[in-house]
Amino acid sequence: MHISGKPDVLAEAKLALGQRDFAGAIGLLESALSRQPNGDLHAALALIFFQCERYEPAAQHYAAAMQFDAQHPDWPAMHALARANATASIHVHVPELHYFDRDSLLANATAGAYSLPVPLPARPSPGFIGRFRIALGDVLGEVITVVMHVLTTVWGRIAGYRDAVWTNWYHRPQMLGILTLAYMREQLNAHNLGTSYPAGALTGFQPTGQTPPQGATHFRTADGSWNNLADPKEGAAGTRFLRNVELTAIRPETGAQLLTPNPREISRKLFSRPSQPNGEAAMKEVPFLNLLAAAWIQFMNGDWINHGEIHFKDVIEVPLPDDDPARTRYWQTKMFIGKTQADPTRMSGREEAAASAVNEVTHWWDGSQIYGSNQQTQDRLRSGTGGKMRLQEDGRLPLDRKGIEETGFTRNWWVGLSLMHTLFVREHNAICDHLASAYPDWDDNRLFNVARLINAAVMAKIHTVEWTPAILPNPALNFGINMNWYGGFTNLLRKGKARKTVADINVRNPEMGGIVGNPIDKHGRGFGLTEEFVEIYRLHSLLPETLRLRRVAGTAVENRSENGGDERVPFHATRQSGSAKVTSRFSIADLLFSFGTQHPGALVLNNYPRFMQELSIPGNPFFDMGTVDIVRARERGVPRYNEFRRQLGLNPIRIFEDLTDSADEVRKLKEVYGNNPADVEKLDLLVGTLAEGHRPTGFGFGETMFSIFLLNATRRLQADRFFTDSYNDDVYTPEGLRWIDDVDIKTVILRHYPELGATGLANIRNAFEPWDTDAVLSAERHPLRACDPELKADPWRGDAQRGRV
Amino acid sequence: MRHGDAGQVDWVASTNTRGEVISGGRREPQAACSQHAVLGMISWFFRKTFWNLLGWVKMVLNRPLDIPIPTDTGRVIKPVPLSVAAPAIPIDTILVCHPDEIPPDERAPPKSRLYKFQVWLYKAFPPMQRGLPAVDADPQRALKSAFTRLHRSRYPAPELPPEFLGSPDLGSLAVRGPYACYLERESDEVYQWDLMKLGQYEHHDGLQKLGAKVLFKVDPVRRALRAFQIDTALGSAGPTDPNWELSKKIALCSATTHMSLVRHFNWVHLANAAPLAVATRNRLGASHPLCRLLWPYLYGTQQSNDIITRGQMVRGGEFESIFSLSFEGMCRLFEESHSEFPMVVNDPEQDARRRGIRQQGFDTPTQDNLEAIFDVLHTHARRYLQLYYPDALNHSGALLIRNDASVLAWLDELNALTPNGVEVTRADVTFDSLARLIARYMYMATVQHELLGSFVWDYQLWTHRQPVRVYSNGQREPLDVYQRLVNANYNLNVHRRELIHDFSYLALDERARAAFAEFNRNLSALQASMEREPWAVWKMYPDVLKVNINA
Repeated sequence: MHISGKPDVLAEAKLALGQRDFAGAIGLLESALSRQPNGDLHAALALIFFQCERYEPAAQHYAAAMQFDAQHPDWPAMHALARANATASIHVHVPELHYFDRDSLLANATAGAYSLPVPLPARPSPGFIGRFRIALGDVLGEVITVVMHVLTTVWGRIAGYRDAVWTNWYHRPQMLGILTLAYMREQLNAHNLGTSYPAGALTGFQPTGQTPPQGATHFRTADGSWNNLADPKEGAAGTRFLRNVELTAIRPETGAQLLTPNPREISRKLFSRPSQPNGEAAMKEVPFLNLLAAAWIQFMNGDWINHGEIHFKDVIEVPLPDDDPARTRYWQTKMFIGKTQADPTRMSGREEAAASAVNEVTHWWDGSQIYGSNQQTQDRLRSGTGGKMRLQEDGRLPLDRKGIEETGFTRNWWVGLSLMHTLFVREHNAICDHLASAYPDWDDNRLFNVARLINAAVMAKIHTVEWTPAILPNPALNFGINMNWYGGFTNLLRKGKARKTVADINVRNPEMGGIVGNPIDKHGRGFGLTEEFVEIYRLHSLLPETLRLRRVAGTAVENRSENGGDERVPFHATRQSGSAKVTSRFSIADLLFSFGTQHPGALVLNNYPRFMQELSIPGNPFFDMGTVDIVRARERGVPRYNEFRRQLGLNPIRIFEDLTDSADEVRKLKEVYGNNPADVEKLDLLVGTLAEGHRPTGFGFGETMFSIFLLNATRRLQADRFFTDSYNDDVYTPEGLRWIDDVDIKTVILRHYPELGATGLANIRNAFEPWDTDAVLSAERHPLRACDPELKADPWRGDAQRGRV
Repeated sequence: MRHGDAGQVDWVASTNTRGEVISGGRREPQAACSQHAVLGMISWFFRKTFWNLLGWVKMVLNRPLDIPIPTDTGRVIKPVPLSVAAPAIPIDTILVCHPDEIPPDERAPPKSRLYKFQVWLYKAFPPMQRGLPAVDADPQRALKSAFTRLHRSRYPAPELPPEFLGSPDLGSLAVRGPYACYLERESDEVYQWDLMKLGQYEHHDGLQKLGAKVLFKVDPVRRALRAFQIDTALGSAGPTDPNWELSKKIALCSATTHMSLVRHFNWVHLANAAPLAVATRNRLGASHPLCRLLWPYLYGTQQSNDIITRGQMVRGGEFESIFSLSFEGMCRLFEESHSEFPMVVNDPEQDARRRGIRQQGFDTPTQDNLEAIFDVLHTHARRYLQLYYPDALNHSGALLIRNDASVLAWLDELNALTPNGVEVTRADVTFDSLARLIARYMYMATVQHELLGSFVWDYQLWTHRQPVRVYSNGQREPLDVYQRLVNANYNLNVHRRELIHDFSYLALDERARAAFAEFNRNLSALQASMEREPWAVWKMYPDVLKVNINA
């Protein structure tokens, strides 16, 4: 921003701002304004207010500045940003500031305050036929396990899985492709399950020999402890992220290395969306997904991973390049990124890993994003009757005193998360109703805890068999991921909802009998999600700049917003308390419909949301998430792209041209990283994954991310007692297992919002696909239909056209 | 009920606290039950198979009625009390056509004999059997067991409405699907289903008393209704009360009972369609233009009503065996509700106005759907009447109509036979009121009958959500009750003559033929416009409508 008019006052104000003397700067500018108002002074004052997080007066002064020059290149955008930040109360910390505490993290698992019911007696053992089925499944499982292992190993060794750079499983016939994937997964399990704890230490440095609390055998604890009765804090909240790379490959970057190449430059040159003629960002869309898919993965991430609060005083200073417009727009020469919290449980002298960090939430797939990761949060969210969670009378989440929805995990909150949390809290309550009708004498606590188990499995199933194939619509992957849940036999012999997770004859083999309901297998290593897993879930490019909000009407879909069409709401205005403001105007059904009919962005270069490159967060008004995404991987010692690939058994790229056929992208990569052969080694992980032009057929992301995915998609099920050994009638109840078998995301949505049964949702099978209403659906937008055996006769005919007439 | 063995849940669920197994309101000691359980299930297998086969045969053999051009028979039908026409049904206040009076062109002796055989079987080899366990806890399994491959060979399984995917969403059901007809404004911002009256009628032992009032309020953001209170014999319950789910079941049981017994059979078949058929045959000559217009909608009514009344209403018939009310309770309900019949229920626009549900800040999709169909029917009626009463629109037409003695006599007889009249009399008839009356009759025979009959297929069979009986001990319906419900509903879906059919052969002249053709075009246009939107279970499409109530 070029400041004209009163250079002396403006220079003084700028100086005051540099010294963080907000009051002084405001006083100077207000005084000058009272003498001779002009646009520059208003804009300068607006910026000072903006920098001290007083977004409402900032918006007012930008508006005043625009009275003098409505066409100014910065002021309208800054006005919109300030207005959105004010709407969303961005200056408020959500949740309250909280940092890890060594003593709490190292406290004994037995010291936890648990509130679990007494397990009921085991159900009577099955009759003769039941026992015969079990025995048959066991025998078949033993045989098949041997056969599968031999087949996989021999095939993998003979055929391999790599060409010169890229993997080749997707070029093979489907069954051979699946076998290749199985081999790749075996290799990953054998070589990439690392720990960040010293050898011999139990998770969280727990002493051995602790006694599990009452109910831990049958129910998930609030903080995820006691899933493993022998390693009580395995997967618990407040324990370390593990690693998928060798300890020697963990090299946290500092100093000049941390900032080379300049992450802000990477963000601007390689992430920024191009502009349309009207100046708005042009997002490259994924045609076969809707925006629910983007909200979903953030919803899941809230269940799995978070590094907790960042530091605000201990910061990484990223220089803004000379040509960076943020220099003039924000009067800054550097961007400040709070450092990741240090791991307070590190034991000097005993640690082998160069760095470690703590996961704030439970590592397990246990729904902790809605239930919380500690007993106190869980208790606060429960209604105390019928096992249910608290909801407002109108079915929305309750609000806290800051106007934020109350739920288990509220970091990075926006309306998309509100949708998902509301949906699954309602699902929890519906499960409670179902259980209560089957077991009328159960008390609140038992209903809650069994419903939680079921609800967590519902989410895990949806993610496994619906979200994953939706974003990776490849026939072999689709079959393989369904094998993970149901097993190969069920997948081959049954269709659609006739498939049972635990078949009548449950083959005791993870490939052919499914992981869920079969024995636990941790491949000799304790479970925990990893820093590498965190890094591949940086999927911000999925997000659009604005949300296109629409309403659903009775018999027909109408757009009835006040301006006669869709209402476009800036994404950042739906963050924090802005979310509840949206849900007070649009029903959850309207929002689901809106998300179902809007596309997310593609995971490619130059498709990063522009609003996230100028984001405000509490305590920091100017924060480029693109820059942060680069910095975090470096800071936490996650290897850069080529080394990351080597660690995962993939071939590194040799030259940038290996990565993509796009000459323009190669040119940009060389501009940023250099043109020497060795410069490919500098390539950042996120940049490399977004640039991968050679992707498995149909995939929304590339094979580097997929490798971590392949490992963890299986492991987070197979290592969890509640998806394996304890996935049975005794723990879940027969009603619970049936509920899980019957469920899909479409069912969940329709169960709670039946009015959506007359929208495009009725026309499609997988609710993460666009909710198209066409009688004939397109293969490009609904590719999974081609591999759905239930639709074999006519896959492209919309489901809503299949209704009885 | 104790929690424990999954395999025992069904059995335990059907056992009361005294260790007795309850089925259909009858009790047997559990010891006796266990002794005879195997024999009982074998017996049930044969019984079920036989009755399934009978239902399937009826489905297979039934052909859509060929509707002949009317002829003057010179005979006048004199309705008699139901107790005279069917002595096994002790109802005197409902007038019906005596079996001997059924017009010869309607008579179908094979069908009559089949129904007589069926009624005889009610005693000789009844479809009900004591002491059976409850249906499976899984609705899909329960349905699969009762709705066999044999059934499916002729008709598809019901769709599960989204409202039944979890605990029933009464707010959505209040505006979507068949139960939308019960919604009415109670006071400012409060709407209701008022079915409390059903609590007055005797029911089988072991069941919860019927009768419920559901109160709704508007969710302005969602533009939807939300149930916030249900009054039943158990008292008032709110969403957080322990009795809420049970109250919901009683409310839905009351609604579905009222729908099948009162709205469908009593009001459509007996109170409305029968008088229309009698009056039209008696008072409008075969060549009268109104007779030609209405003929497809009423042909076969006397024959059909006769056999169905006996099949369903006699002791041991479907109404008594399926629903909560005892035979005596059912008869009293029929008598009392017959006298309360309001003609306006056949007019969605005016009925909605009467009930105060239009444009109140919530969406009314079923109402919109029904009004769209009514508009086509009404337009057809006006267009047709305009052909024969051409000056009617400038008010002199009223004179033409009032000078048509046949029409006036027809109105007289309709008012005499229809409880509470038809809201149009010889004294006040106008072109508009006559056209609306005709549209109401067409709507009754086509939309109302479909909505309350075949359409319920997708709702009534999900008894886990919407029971036909609510047992005091919490059990689900026994196998025999559920099987009979399935078979009874199955036979409601026999192949019948569609509304979208070329009836122009009934026209008296070319102008009328063109009007018939235009009507079909309008129906097809509505169908096409609806098909541009996704199909939904609650939507009524023109191409599913049948032209009359008769099989």
